[in-house]
Amino acid sequence: MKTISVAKDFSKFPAGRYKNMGKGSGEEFREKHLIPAMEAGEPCIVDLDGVAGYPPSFLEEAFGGLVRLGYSADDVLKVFQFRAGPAYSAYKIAAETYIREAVPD
Amino acid sequence: MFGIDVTTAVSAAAGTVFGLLATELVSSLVRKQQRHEKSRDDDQDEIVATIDAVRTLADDYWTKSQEELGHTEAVLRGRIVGGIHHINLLISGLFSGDAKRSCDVAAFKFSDAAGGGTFGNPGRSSEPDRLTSIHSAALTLKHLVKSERRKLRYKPLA
Repeated sequence: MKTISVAKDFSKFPAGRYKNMGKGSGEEFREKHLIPAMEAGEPCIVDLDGVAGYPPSFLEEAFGGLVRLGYSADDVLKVFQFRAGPAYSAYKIAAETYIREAVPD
Repeated sequence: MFGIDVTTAVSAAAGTVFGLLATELVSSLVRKQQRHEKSRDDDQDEIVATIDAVRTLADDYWTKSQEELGHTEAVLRGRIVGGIHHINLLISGLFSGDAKRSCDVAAFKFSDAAGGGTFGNPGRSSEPDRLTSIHSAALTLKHLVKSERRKLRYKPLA
């Protein structure tokens, strides 16, 4: 199964919500890694470990943003499984909650 | 007569040594427990202090717009995210199982209140109304951490 490591494949310093805020935004992560995985439709592991912390707005935009774009929450949760060590499990809860609570545009 | 005295003396000495060893063993276990409990108390205090620090930073952040904060906006943002991450690290070291899961959920709600929404957005307006949910989530998390800390049991052979 393909694994996307946020720290190794994207940034050790995830930043805010939108690309116009600079490098490492949730929007950029979604476009570079999450949408291609959704389009491929293959189950994929998102490894949340190893970064210096996640702004909630990053996680909301990256994962909740998929639902706003039209992907169903069920499909998103079918494609992505989250891997998180003990110190990162609150971020896993955050990502899954944002997916479930997002409303399509 | 002399043999009986030697036997008695040896028995007494053995009893004394055994008593001393048992006392030392019990003292050692008590000291270990005290160190362990102090370490847990220190972690709990650090979590509570960090929650308060993040809450204060969030007060400063959300009562001003991005324009009003200027370069301080990025500093506050970094400290809030770093503080939340530190809370998560400490919770993972102190708790496990259901207690950790409960604290993780409460920590997520606190982080979402303090760092969700328009956090970091260019042109962000001030949102003082957000402070109520930040303080409420902070108090809930603090109470839960203290409550779960009280439930932790010492395992002497762990």
